[in-house]
Amino acid sequence: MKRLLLIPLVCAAIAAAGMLLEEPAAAKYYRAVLIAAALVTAVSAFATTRRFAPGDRLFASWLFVGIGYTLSTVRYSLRLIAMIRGGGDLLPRPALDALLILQNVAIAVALLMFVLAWNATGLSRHRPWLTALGIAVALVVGGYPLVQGWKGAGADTVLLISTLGDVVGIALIVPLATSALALRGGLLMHTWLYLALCEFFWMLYDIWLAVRGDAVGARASLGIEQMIRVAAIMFAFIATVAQRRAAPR
Amino acid sequence: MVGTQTPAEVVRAHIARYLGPFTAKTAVQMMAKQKLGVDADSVTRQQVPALLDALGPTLRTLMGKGGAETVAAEIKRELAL
Repeated sequence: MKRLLLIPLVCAAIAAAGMLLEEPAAAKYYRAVLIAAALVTAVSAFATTRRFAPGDRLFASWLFVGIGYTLSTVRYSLRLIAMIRGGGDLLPRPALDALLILQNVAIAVALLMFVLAWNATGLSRHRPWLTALGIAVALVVGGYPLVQGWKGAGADTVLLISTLGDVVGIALIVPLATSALALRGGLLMHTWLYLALCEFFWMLYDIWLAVRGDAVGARASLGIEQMIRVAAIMFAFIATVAQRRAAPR
Repeated sequence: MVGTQTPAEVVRAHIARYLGPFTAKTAVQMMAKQKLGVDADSVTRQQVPALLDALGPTLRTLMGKGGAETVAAEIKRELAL
């Protein structure tokens, strides 16, 4: 099960190969890697959903993960097709924005349902200071873009909702990680740990976008951005695999 | 194996594979107290089905209905219930 951890790292290395390419080939390469990562994650999430009955709490959680990454796959694919064809986007801007918003909402709802499911077991120890720490980190990391989005909400509602989704996800890192800690030594620990790592990498992604500045060249900056993105998606993928492997048959 | 282990230890050992030893111990102790009104180590073989019923919602939440039923069936088989 621990070997699953290699998958996000290997996939991030595959994304890094884009730094060897010139534009516009690099942009198309990054997009193709993202599509592959989101697609396998969506398919794997639906396969994991099938291991649960519709009445099970985690059925809806995995279903929303699948829906979220399906929407990502569609968005990334539309962008790649537009890049290859040249010219504008294939869908009107509001439709693309709606896809992004739905994707963010689906993932945030899925993660929230995981945390609520763990709380429903009655085995969680309530640690208010840890929850407060998670929310504080989320607000600090997501705060700047959230404020920017709020100021120009009329102009960029998408940024606002997208960042709100990030804030929810980052705030849930702590509860997901404490669930994994409680399950240490058990097969189910891996699922919760990888979900927490997925959100941790999305937090790194937000931090990187905020701090990258001119520290590295544009090509390396974009490469690192894509590596973090692909790693984050693939942590979600290995979480889906870990859940299936943990289930007795 | 069963001869040297209490029924609660058998239950703990099975669910620890999935929940880890710490949470398995907590879950068995909590359900034995709440549903049977006894300490986990005082649970008799005859009380195990009731203990498994009490653990059911937790196991179903984390493993799904099928997974939870499989674990319960394995425990019952080992305890010859």
